Amino acid sequence: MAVTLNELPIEVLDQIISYISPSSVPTIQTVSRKFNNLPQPLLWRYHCRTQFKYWSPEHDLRQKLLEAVVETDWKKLFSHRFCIDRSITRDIDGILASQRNRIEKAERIMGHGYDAKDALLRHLNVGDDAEDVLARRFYTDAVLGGLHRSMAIREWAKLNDGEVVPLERALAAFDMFVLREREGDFHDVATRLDRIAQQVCSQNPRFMDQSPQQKAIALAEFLRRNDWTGISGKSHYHDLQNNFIGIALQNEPHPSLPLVSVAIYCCVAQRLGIDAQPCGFPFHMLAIIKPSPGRTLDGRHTVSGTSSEPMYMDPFRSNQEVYVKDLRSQLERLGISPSNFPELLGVSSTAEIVRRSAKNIITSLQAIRRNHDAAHSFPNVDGAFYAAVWALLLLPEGSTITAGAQRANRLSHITELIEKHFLTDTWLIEKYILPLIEDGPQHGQLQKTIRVIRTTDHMPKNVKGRTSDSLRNVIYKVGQIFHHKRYHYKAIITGWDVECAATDDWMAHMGVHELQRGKYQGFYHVLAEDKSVRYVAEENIALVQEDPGEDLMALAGQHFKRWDGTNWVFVSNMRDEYLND
Amino acid sequence: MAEMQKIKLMSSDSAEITVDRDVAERSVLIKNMMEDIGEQAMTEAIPIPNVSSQYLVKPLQETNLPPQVNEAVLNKVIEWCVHHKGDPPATNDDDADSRKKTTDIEEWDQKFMQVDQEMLFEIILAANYLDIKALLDVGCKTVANMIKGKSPEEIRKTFNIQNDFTPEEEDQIRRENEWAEDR
Repeated sequence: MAVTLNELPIEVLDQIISYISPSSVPTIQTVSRKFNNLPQPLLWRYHCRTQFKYWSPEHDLRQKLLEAVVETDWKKLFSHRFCIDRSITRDIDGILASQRNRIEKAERIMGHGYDAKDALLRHLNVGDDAEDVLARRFYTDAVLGGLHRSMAIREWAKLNDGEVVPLERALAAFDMFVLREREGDFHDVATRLDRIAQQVCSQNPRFMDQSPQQKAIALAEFLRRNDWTGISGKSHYHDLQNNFIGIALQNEPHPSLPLVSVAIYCCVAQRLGIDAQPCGFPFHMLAIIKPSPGRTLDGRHTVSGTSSEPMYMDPFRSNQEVYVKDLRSQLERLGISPSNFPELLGVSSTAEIVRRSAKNIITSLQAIRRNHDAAHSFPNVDGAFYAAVWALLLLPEGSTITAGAQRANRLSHITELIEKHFLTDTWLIEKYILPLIEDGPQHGQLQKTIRVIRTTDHMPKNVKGRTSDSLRNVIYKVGQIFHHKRYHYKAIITGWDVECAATDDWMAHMGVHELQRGKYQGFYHVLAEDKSVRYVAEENIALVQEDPGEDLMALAGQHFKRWDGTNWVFVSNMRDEYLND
Repeated sequence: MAEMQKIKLMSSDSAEITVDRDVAERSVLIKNMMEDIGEQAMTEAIPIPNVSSQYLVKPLQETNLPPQVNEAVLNKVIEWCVHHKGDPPATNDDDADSRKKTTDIEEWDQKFMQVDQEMLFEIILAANYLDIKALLDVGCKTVANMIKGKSPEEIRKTFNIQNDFTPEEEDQIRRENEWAEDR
């Protein structure tokens, strides 16, 4: 008698079904009773592990993987993630299909937390031949960035509420602002630090037998020998990436600023049973190592009632202990009053370290700007600055006279950045910043700004078709690229008016009446290579037929689907506004 | 070069087939058997299936008697083993469960598997019994590719399977699996 599929042994059917895509497995289950009984928890666990890399912490996936397979309803977990993925795809498609309610859809995606990341990465890595490749990458990048930022901001908000946040997490939050699709998130940073601690022990099997003092020195030696602390190689002190713990741990030869070096030192030390914490010395950062209660640092019992002294290490610069008398004389030379010594030589709070790191980032950015360091290739300068401003807003210094003015200044920075680059972060302002400034004078203004952003998001666009009027007056089309005749920058046309629609003040200021054709000519909204948005008279536009270049390609996704190299135009994704362009 | 050792296999319909030892040893079952009984195996034909075999890696369940591997099937299996005799041995890695399996089948194997369903299933059963993992993989992938994209009714029709659900059961299963439907 001939064998049929139904009669194959269970283990063979199991194997066959493991080659079927998970969303088709239910189809097979409905074939017959035998098939319905096939998909085992192992199959669904396998699909959970292989289809999804990133999981929200509330699933506690690592714990589930350690437990017996039957402890978890893997099929339910899989279908849960599968449905999230599908809803994200629906929302991303929705964002691309219409300019309306984009912020709302982005927020819904970010509401899924890290469960959203796999689907977002898939859209981000869409093939070059996709019909809407530029738009899909642009908006997915924006949403993924918002997701990462929301996770970072949550950590800092916790810190401000007095909750304990591990040092590595508080600092890796800066990485989350510039992460994009790279590795180096909270989890990666923690895993890398774990691995370094394991290496210390495996290369030095007797490490744990030593006294805290010996351990502290041996660890500094190990980290410096392997470039985990300090700056070596070609890196310059103020290079922006030296501020980021995740980047430092990842990129050879791991350059980092003293603050980050000390953080790496302390985080590894804590994993090895050393009580090491950062000490924010003026103009430098040290690690302070405390003995365990009732002991001295060289491991002896203390005489009862006496507390033993801590020691200091400078893992950025050396393997050696730094003596407290040298630190005191340095402070004296700086003209600091001895009454402030205990504070300056004590442990810095994690909030203080985050603040200092934020200020370091701003200093690095200023150094870059001062040196016009164009060759400098940090991929996300806006993100770095944005992170620093958020950190300083969420973790304000104790009430000083200047605090109010500083806050106002930072608020205006953040509002400007959100309106320009991070519209999808509006909800983060509502959730984290509005409550912080409830009684402040800026509360009303900020609320109003948010209301405008939200209303604009909900409103349909004014449709502009090509009427006889506009046909006569407006020669150029949305998507064309040009050089400005006077200022020579390159830009894309993103919109037009049949005549100058700006205010009289603007026209006076810009000298519109000095133009040959004055205000009664086509005026164009344009997006320039330097990310600026401008408004240009038709007579100043010289269309070009050339490759748009990397910068414009990266920006174009905000308004365009793809580049059409045959016709030298970007293909519009604003048909709900410019009907015929 | 020393001449390759030959061994004889006997199919369920009593055909004797002589093969190179390294070809036959693509089968873990035969390899283990050879290591144990050695020279004796060179002279006598090894019956496939060997019901009394203590060399089975996977114990046979009562309901799963060893498959009848007839001459045509055995020839087909040997053909595959000859083609693949140079393949590197399968790696035994612990982490296979965390990596995505591919359903790609190399071209020669695709052609090799262009047989009728009955032959396909018999090859799979033989590969499972003889413990030829790579051949079993190819067979399972081939079946999986035949299932892909079909509705339950089409699958039943293709493979001649009875729908043995009660309407209530069918309804319940549909509800449990709604999440996977295209919406």
